[in-house]
Amino acid sequence: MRRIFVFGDSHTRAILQAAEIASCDDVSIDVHWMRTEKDGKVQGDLDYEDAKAVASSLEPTDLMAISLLGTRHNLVGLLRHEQPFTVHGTDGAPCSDEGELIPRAVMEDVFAAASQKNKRIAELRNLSRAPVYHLVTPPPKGDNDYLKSRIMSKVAGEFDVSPAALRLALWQLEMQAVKRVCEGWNVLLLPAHPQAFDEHGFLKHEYYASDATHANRAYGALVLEQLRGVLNAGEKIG
Amino acid sequence: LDRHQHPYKALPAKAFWKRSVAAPAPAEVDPVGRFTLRIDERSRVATAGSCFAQHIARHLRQSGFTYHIAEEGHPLLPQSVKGAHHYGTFSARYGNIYTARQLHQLFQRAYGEFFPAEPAWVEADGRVVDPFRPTIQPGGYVSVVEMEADREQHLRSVRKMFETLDVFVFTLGLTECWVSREDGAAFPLCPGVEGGTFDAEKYTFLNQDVNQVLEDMRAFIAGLKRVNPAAHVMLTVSPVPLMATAEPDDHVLSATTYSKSVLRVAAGMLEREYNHVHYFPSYEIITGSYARGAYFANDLRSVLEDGVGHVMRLFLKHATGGATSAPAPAKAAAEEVLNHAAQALVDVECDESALDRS
Repeated sequence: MRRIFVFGDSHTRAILQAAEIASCDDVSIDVHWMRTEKDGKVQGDLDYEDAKAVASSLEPTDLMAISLLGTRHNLVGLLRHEQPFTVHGTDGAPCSDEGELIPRAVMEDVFAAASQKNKRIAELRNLSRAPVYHLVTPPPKGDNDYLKSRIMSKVAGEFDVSPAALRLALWQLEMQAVKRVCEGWNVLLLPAHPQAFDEHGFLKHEYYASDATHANRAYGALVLEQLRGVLNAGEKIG
Repeated sequence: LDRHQHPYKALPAKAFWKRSVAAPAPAEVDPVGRFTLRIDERSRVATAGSCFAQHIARHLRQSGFTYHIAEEGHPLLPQSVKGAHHYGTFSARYGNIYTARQLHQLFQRAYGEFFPAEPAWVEADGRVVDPFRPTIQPGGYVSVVEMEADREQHLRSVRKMFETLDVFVFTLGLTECWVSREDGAAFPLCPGVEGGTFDAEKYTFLNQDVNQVLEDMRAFIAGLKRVNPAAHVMLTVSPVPLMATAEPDDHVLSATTYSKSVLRVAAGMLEREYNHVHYFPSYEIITGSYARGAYFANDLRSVLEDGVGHVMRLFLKHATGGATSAPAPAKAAAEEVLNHAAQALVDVECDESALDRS
């Protein structure tokens, strides 16, 4: 039986949830969150070294999907920066009226520089005989009130979320950077499922998880659908 | 009267070639003459000019002085990205300013006195390039609107720089430039080299003479005085030869001599004309025959780190009134010098090299 091995960060959770209820007799789907420990708190269920062993065991007809990059846009721009900044959207208009302009090429390089530091993706790519894809992270959520309500309990003191247009532009720029960096490692980027976007390019409400940055099981099902499509058709997406 | 007395009898050693140029070890040659500029660690020193000015900027940063940067880039940007996109290469993100005309027009543009008619350059792949700083951003801009917004932000920073600096170090690089036939706007690089399309109907070659350089520099100096009465100006002439000349039928070596001579004469005249304008002989330090060409790399153009070090040692010695230690004549082993030089060369972007890719 052919295998799909998904390995990555917290965004794998939605995929795992979907895989748990998916009926797939023809494919073995194995989804793991990389185990990390920070301040005594352990997250994830598979050590990186064990993931390397799994990657090495894959056959050329299998598929590996990684989700380790693509979260920096949240660190950069989910909350309003104390020194506001803006970038221009794809429509050419600035995403906010205030703050220092960071040209898109510059911001994309900020994300590329951060992505480039992660050596694990190239290492996994080299170990695997199966095609290796990197997953995009879920598109940003456009509902400011929703975000505020989810962030309120987690952030001490006053805060404000960045303008939605800025968050969207940052996500798009990071995905461009991740695509560029991954292609350098011979890893293709699997774009988000077209069905996941609302008419403005944000994540549709129905795919929101209960926090500010993650998507839900239904979104995970979309990713699984894409992965199975890649595996079965041998098609290249990205 | 003592018939053996004459004016040369009372002159110091530095007035005599044999004693001050031929006899000392090369690293000890100090051709600085009259130089009254003084800086301390609090003085805000800003830089602009040709490639060689990048070396000055780099050394100022490393030597504990206040290298004044008015356009630093947002704190989100890591140093590697800032460097690649030329934040901090000079005091504002203007790229190389090779000619007096360019400097004068930069000032005019910053203060709304000149609005060049030249539109943004839109490349075949959709990238947008700023004609007045075509190499400033790898990847270019995504739209004309973005380029114009960044230019507006840049010119704001230029104004801030001029108004808050204590010393403006400007390295005069070239007399040759290309200008718009429509309004005389001067480009740092010939259109078509790093963006845009060359069109002889739109652009024309200009090789400035001394009077034109003086006119531009005087206008700039007056403008700076207006917005920052206490500012000092330090002029240097870049020792880097021309990559290529567009002067019809001229040889590049001869064209280099013309260009550097014009700039050197202009710098000397300006230094004599204004009390707050100073000349520092970095050109002489690098190109002087005492060095026997040792300060140039194998391409006979790029300045090696040893030479830059010599310039900066003397600059800091004289500008701080001798507060820094004397130059160390010791030389590193040849291989180390080459490696060190290679590193420094890699760090200095010289977009003029785009003229000759053969």
